Amino acid sequence: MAPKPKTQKPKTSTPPSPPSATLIPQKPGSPGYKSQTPAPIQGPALYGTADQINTPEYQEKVGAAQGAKDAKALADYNKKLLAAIAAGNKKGSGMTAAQKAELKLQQTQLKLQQQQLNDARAEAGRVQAREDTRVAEEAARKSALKTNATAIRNLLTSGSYGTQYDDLISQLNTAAGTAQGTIGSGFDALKNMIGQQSNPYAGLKFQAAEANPAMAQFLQGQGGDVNAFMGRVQAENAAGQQANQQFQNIADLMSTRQVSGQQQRMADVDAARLSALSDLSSQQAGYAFNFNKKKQTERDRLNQILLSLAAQGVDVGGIV
Amino acid sequence: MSDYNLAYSSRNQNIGDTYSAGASRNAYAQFLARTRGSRKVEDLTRQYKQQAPKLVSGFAQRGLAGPGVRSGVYQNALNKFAQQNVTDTYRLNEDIAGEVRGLEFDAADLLNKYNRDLIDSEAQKAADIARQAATLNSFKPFIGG
Repeated sequence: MAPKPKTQKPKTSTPPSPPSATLIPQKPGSPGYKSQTPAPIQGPALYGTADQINTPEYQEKVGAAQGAKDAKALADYNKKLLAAIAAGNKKGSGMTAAQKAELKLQQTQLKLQQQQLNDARAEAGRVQAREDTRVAEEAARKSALKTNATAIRNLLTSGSYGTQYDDLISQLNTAAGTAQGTIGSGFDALKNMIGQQSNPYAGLKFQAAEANPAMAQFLQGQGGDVNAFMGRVQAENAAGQQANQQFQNIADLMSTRQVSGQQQRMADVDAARLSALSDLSSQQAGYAFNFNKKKQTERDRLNQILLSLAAQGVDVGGIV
Repeated sequence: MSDYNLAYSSRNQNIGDTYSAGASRNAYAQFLARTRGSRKVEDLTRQYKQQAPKLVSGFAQRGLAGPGVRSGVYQNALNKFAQQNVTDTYRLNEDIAGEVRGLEFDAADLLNKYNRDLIDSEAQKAADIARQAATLNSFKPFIGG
């Protein structure tokens, strides 16, 4: 269809007073005979002028009722013309050839008008049908969009849009709890093992070397100096004890270091446990943040869809 | 987790085997040290027992020893002989005691190393398990995109 030109609203022509087709012939020379020129038969008052009747505006604005009215007016006009033509064709009608030709011309113009009106009415009908189809399709489209908007709104108000993320967070918390237990039991076992280990240096008790006093009896039997001999024995034994004590001191020092080292290792286990639990907590928080962020993103996406539907004229009931 | 158990179980077994072998060698070395030491002490004692009568008879033949004989030379020889015996037996006993002390220290060091290696192995295992548990790896696929 051609683009609709901008035209002014057609003015409805004011119909003149009903015409009267005075075509009653009179015999020339009869008393009162007057040469009468039949008054022209006025065309009907239509919605638009003849020039406007075939315009797209007429086709768009003329209604079925107005079109029928115009068609009837033209049909009535045609009847009058036919009657006038028939009357003029009768012998002795007194209608001149020019008048007959005028009537014929009017009839031709009428037929053209009727054709134009019919075309305009047909086009108006098609336009109306297309408009009706468009309105129906638009209504169906909006109905579908409204259904979608309702479904989306239900997802948002019920919270079910985030069900998968809520499930993930729940599973995450469960897994983190299990991991806590695993970490704790592992380090507990290690700490117990350390605590139960024996001190390798605790049982070290060295034996000092001793001098053998057995020769004292022989010496005494031969009259030797037993006192000097025993003095020597005691001196050697004292030296032996002193040397042995030095080694014993080393062993005792190793034993003490072992005990403190064991305590330190157990403290290290506690520190490692805290560090691992801290890492776990950080990981858990990180994953939970990500899941909540994705949930919020989904919420925003659904609200954006509602806004988009609202911009198209769908009643979405506001964003959630 | 089962992979960790297999790997660390094997490692701990090796640590235990190494300690067992070393401890066995050490115990045998201590046994040998004491046994050899005892023999040496017996040999020394026997040697002096054998030398004592010879010492007396030697001085007796020269009239310097015997009943009623008081000889300064003989007394000095006796005292010197007796003190030498003390010195020799003490040094032998000190050598034996020193050797045994060293072996006992070695045994304690072996046990200490075994304990430390075991702790290191179990600590590594606990740390690996904790690290694996803390990462919550099963949730990584849900982060992407």
